[in-house]
Amino acid sequence: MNPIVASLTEVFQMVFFVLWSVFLVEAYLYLHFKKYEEKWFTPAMLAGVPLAGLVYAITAVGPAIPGSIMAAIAMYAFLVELAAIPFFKLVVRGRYSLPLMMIAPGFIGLAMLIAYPLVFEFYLAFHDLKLTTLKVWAETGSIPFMGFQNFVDVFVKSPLSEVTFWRLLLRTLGWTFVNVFFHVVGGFALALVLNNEIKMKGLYRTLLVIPWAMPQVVAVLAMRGEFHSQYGFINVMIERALTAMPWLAHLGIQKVEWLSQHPFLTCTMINVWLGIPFMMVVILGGLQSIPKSYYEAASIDGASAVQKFWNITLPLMRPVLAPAVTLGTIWTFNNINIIYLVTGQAGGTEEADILVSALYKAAFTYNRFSYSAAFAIVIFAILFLVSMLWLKYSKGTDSAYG
Amino acid sequence: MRAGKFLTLLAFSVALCGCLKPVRSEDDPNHITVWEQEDSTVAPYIDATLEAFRKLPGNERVTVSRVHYSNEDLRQQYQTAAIAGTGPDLIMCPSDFGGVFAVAGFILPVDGLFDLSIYNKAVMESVLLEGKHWGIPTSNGNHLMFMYNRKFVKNVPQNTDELFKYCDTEAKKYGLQNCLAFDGGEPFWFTPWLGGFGGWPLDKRTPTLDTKPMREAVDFYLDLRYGKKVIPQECDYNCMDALFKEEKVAFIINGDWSVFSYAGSLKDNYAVARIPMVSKTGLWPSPMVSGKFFMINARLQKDERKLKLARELIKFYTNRENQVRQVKELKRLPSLTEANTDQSVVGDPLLKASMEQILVGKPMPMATEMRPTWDSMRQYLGKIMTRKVTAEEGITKMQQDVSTKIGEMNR
Repeated sequence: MNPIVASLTEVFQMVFFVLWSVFLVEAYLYLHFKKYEEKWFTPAMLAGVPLAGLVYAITAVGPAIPGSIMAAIAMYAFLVELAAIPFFKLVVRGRYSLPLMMIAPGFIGLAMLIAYPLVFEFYLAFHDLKLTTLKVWAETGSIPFMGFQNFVDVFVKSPLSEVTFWRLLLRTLGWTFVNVFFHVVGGFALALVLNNEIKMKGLYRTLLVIPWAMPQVVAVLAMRGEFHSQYGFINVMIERALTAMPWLAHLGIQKVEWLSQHPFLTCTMINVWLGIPFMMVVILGGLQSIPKSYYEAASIDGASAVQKFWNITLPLMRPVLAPAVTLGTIWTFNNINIIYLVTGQAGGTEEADILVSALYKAAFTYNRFSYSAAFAIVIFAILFLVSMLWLKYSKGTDSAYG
Repeated sequence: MRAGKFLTLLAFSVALCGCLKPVRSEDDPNHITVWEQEDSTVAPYIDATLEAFRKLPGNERVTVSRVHYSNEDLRQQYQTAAIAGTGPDLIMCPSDFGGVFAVAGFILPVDGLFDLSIYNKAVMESVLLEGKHWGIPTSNGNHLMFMYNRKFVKNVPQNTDELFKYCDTEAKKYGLQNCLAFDGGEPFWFTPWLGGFGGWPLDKRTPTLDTKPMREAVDFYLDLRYGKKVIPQECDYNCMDALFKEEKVAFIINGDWSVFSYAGSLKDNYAVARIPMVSKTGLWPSPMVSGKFFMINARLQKDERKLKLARELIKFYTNRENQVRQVKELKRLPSLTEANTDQSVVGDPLLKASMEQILVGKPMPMATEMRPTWDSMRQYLGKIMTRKVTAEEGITKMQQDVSTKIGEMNR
């Protein structure tokens, strides 16, 4: 079969499979919501659900499926249904049938995509999966139990070669603060300019959005090239400036080996450039929603431009800024792309690593899977805490007009 | 009665759902997926060979798909896929990938599946681990060589003194900003020089980094960059490749995988030689030698039909006819002993030079300890070359770091 036709067939098959699965879930729920009082309900369900499990296993995997697995499927399906029947008969009793049937497919999908990996993450964090235990795990399904050792190791052992967890944490907080700060300040400044009546505003807006609109990989790799010490745009410009104005050299201006001497600074500069357009667009949207009458009233009262900004613009922008800054903080904190693409994929330097890039290297360069699982949980806890504190103290969830 | 109808309907619905379950390409016994990390210029050759296999009598229902990854991405992606019990049926990669994959149980040993005696013995040794072979070679080499542009170089330097003399005189006459380019951040490019000073990163399974040859090789490396200034600053693979293709450097150290591409862009000006002898020691730099290999996903052990198809594909890919065609089209040395004597091999000056380089090379270690050794070398060579630590301090830490990593791996 033609590969394109084969791929399309696979996609359509997948779509049909998902739709049919949703139908089955809905049919199951319909019976449990609407027919739970029928006489035949309990025996039919207790027989039907294990049978359905077996039929599905045989049709999906094939008749060669081992008897022990068939028995296990039937037994677990029976036990699940045995618990489900009293729940639907005594607790649910047909209530909330429509909303629950509506959210059920989404809930099951999310459970499979998020809950299962999360549970597995915790399992890994308390066990010892690494290169040398992979084979044992694949053959026996079990790996040595480690208790909290991996969590202790996160704080006392370097995930890479030298850099410690605490240094990575400090660097990540600095990276997040500096980036988000410049994103907001730069985005705010540009949005204020674009919010005025200026000629060719649409063109400026389009040009300013380009770094954000183009694929991040392309933008980052292009910028990486511009920071090359010999052939990059920045050093070429410095060289030309020094040729034209040799006195600049006396001020300490000289070509810089950006990528090897200052990898973290280079990553930060690239990410600041990339992040400003998003903030600009969000803030511009917020600015345009502020009624002009507020400014007109302030003008009549004799308020200066600074007073208008401080007393009208900033408070009314809070509901827009708070979620944008929260999102920006989470994205920047977790932004592995810039570090990965700028400092090299094969390990590279540790000097620009933040928590998530160190986590990636620990897992996929150094094959420390269980350690990385514990590391990921620690990072999640930090990010959760920082976000909650920010939302609480910024009062970002409060209404501006409330 | 209603219950009976219900059960029938339910069974029918579930059976339909089971039938609709998407068939993964890896479950299709007539489909082979190959992941590779080759240069983009090699892709047409691979595709043509896979297509020729597909057109063989009896293979009408066979389909083969090729997926490209960069070197590190292939290693990481395959590892991730293999952990989940999935991934491609075959991978094409250098031998050093095999060590990790073999220990983790991601690939099958090929002993008993193929007649290994038909392949060059030296190449097969580079995939020998714990008494088993873990891949079938498609080419011999995958080694670094000294390549130059005849437009700038009339007499190729035989030793480093001659190289420095050229760089100091003739290269400047041609207005070349730099004389020699190579990927200074990758330890793979460092090992030939380490060999030129009498060292090697691994002694069987023990890293040997904190040594006198390592100190001398590092000093030499620093001298190339900061003293003699014959290599560009911050030059990675793409940078060195572009500099050579754009005729901005006279020499490049690159692998046999790039010969085809350079021969195409520089035409008759392109030539290959041995990496110049280290004048101080009188030793030839010794690049790591292995080849490119087909490795078989361990998943195929439970799928006889697919394993048979994968074996047929590998045998076809490495038969004499394709090995000779590979020599002609990609300028790579064959892995099949029978193809060594073909006129296309013995009569080609580029391949002759490639063989000359292999003669002073050393087999690439397949031991799992090589992986952390690469990682530690990359980390500390980077620090030394950017002068963030002294050579002495960097080398000591490099050895300590690799010992720690191996300790953790074997804990």
